Amino acid sequence: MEMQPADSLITLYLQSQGKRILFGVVLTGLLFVLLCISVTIGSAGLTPPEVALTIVNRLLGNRSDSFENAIVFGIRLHRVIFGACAGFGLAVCGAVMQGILRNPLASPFTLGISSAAAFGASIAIIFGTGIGLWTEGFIVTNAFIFTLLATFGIYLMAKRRGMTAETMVLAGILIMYLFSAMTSFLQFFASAEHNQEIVFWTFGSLTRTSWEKTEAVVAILLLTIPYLLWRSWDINALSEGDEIAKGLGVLADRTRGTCMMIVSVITAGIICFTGTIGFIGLVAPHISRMLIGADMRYLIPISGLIGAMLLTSADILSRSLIPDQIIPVGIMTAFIGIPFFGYLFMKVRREYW
Amino acid sequence: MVILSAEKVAYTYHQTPIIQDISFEVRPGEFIGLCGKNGSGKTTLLKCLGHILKPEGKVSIDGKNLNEIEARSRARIIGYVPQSIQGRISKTVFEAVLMGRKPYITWGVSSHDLQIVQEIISRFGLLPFASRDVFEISGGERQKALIARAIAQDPSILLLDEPTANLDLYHQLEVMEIISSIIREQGIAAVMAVHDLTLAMRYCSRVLIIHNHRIIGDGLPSEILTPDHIKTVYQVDAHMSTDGGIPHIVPIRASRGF
Repeated sequence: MEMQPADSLITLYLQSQGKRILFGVVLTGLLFVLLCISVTIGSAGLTPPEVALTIVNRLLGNRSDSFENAIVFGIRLHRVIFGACAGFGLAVCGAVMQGILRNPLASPFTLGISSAAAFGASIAIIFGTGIGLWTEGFIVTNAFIFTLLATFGIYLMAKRRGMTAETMVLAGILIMYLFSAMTSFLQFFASAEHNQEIVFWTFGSLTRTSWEKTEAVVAILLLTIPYLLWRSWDINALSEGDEIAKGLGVLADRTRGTCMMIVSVITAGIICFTGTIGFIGLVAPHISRMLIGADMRYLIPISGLIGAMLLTSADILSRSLIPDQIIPVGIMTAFIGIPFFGYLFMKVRREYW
Repeated sequence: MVILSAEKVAYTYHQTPIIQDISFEVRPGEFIGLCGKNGSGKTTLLKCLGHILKPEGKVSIDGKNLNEIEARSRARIIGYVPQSIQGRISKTVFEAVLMGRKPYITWGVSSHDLQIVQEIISRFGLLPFASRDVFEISGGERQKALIARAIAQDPSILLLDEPTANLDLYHQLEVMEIISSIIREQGIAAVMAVHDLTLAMRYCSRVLIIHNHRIIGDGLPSEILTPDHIKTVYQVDAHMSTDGGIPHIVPIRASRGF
C-alpha cells in the first residue's frame, strides 16, 4: 500500500475530474463518428461523399428537391438524431433511477413505466382504428398518458407507505405486472392483425421518426436534463441512504418524488414514439459507472453518451445486418450492449456498485 | 450558552411511544453519552435531534426552532453520523469525505472544500485509504470516514450513533480520542449513543440514561453510571473499579436470569 503525501490528494482528485471530462469529450467525438456512419447507411445506395455533400449543401443554405436531399433529410437524418437523443435520454433515466432508488436493477423498463406505455399503445392500436381517430397520434398520446399514469400510481402507492426506495421499487414491479397482464388480456381478445401490430410496437423501433418528433424529444431533454444535472449532489447523497441524505440537508422524499416524475416524463416522451426500448436504460449507467465512477455530475452525461452510442450502433446494425430489411432496433440493443457489458463486467475487478 | 436544547421531545411510531418527555440542553465542549438498553430509543432520539425524524415537542439550535431552519443550513450546524451506509454505490474515501461539504457546495467543488477534506483525511489517518473504495476498506476505517465526513460539515454539534460498534479495541480508542480532541479544539459538542459503558465513563463529560422512554439520569458519568442505575436499566449486576486512573464497569451477572 503506497502512502500518499497529503497535498497530492487534491491534485489526484482534480486529475480524476479532468480525466472524466476528457473521457466525455472523446465519447462525444466517437458518437459523432457513429452518427456519420449511421447516416450513410441505407438501401438508397448513396455513397458517403454524396451524403456529406448533401448535408454540407443544406448547412450552407442551399435548399434543393434532389433525391439525395429527400433521402438524407426526409428519411435518415432525423432518424439518426432521434436515435441518439432517445439513447441519451433513456440512459440518463436509468442512471437517475438507479441512484435515487439505490437499486442496480432499476430502469424505466424494470419499473413498469414501459409496460404501461405498451398497454396504452395496445389500447390505441385495438380501439383507435375503430373510432376513426388518427391512429398514430392516438398511439403516441395514449402511450404517453399511460406512462405518466403508471408513475403517478407508483407515486401514490409510495406516498401512502412512505416514499422509501424499497416501496417505490416494489410499487413499480407491481405496476409492471399489472400492465403486462392487462396487455395480455387485450391481446387475447384482439385480432391477429392488431396483435401483430402490438408485438411490433413492443419491439421498439426508429422507423416512425420525423423531424417534429425529433424536435419534441430534443425539447424534452433540454428542459429536463439540466435540472437533473443540477440535482447531482442531492442524488449522490440519496444513493447512500435517506438518513445520510437528510443529514446532509437533502429533502429525501421530495427529491426522489421530483426526480421520479421527471424521469417518467423523459421516458414517456421517448418511448411513446419508439415503442419499448428497454435495455439501454439498464445497462448504459452500469457501463458508465464501471468506467468513471458514480458521481452523478459525470455519470448523467457519460451515461447519456454511452446510451446514445449504444442505440446508434444498434440502429446501424439493425439496418445493415440483413440487406433491404430493417430489424427493430429494440431487438438489436441487447445484442450490442450485452457483449460490451459482459466484457467490462469481467474486466473491471473493483467493486463498482 | 446553549447549542442545542430539547423541550418535551416525544416520538411515537404507529401508536407506540418510543421516547417521551425528553428535555435537556447541550453546551459547547460537552461530550454527552446516551445510554440505555437496546430499543430504549437512543437512535430515535438522535434522529429527532438531527431532524431526520420530526418529533413532537421542540428542538432548538442556537435558540432557533429546528423546524424553521432550512435543510441546507441545518446540515451546516448538525453533523449526523448513522451506524452505517445503506446504499452500495461505491466511491473513494476522498469522495465520501468530500460529500460532507455538500451543504456548502452547489455544483462545483472549491479549492477551499478540497483543502478542508484533505486536512480532515490526514487528521483521521485515512491518507493510505484516500483513493480506495469505501467498501474495500475495513469497517473501522469506514466508520472513521463517516465521522470524518460529519466533521467536514463543520458542524457545531455532532450526533453519533454507536460510532464504536463493530470496531476492534485499537479503533475504538482511536475514534474516541479523535472525537474528544475535535470537541476540545473546535469547541463543538457531541451527543453519542453508546453501549460500552466503560468508554462512556472514560470519554464522556456527561451521561444521559434513557429508560422506559424517558431520561432517568443526567449528570457526570461517575454519578450516573452507578451499579444501581445499571441494574435498573440493564438488569445486570455490575461492579465498578478503577485501574491506573481509568474507570471501568465489569458486568457480573444478569440479575433477571436468562
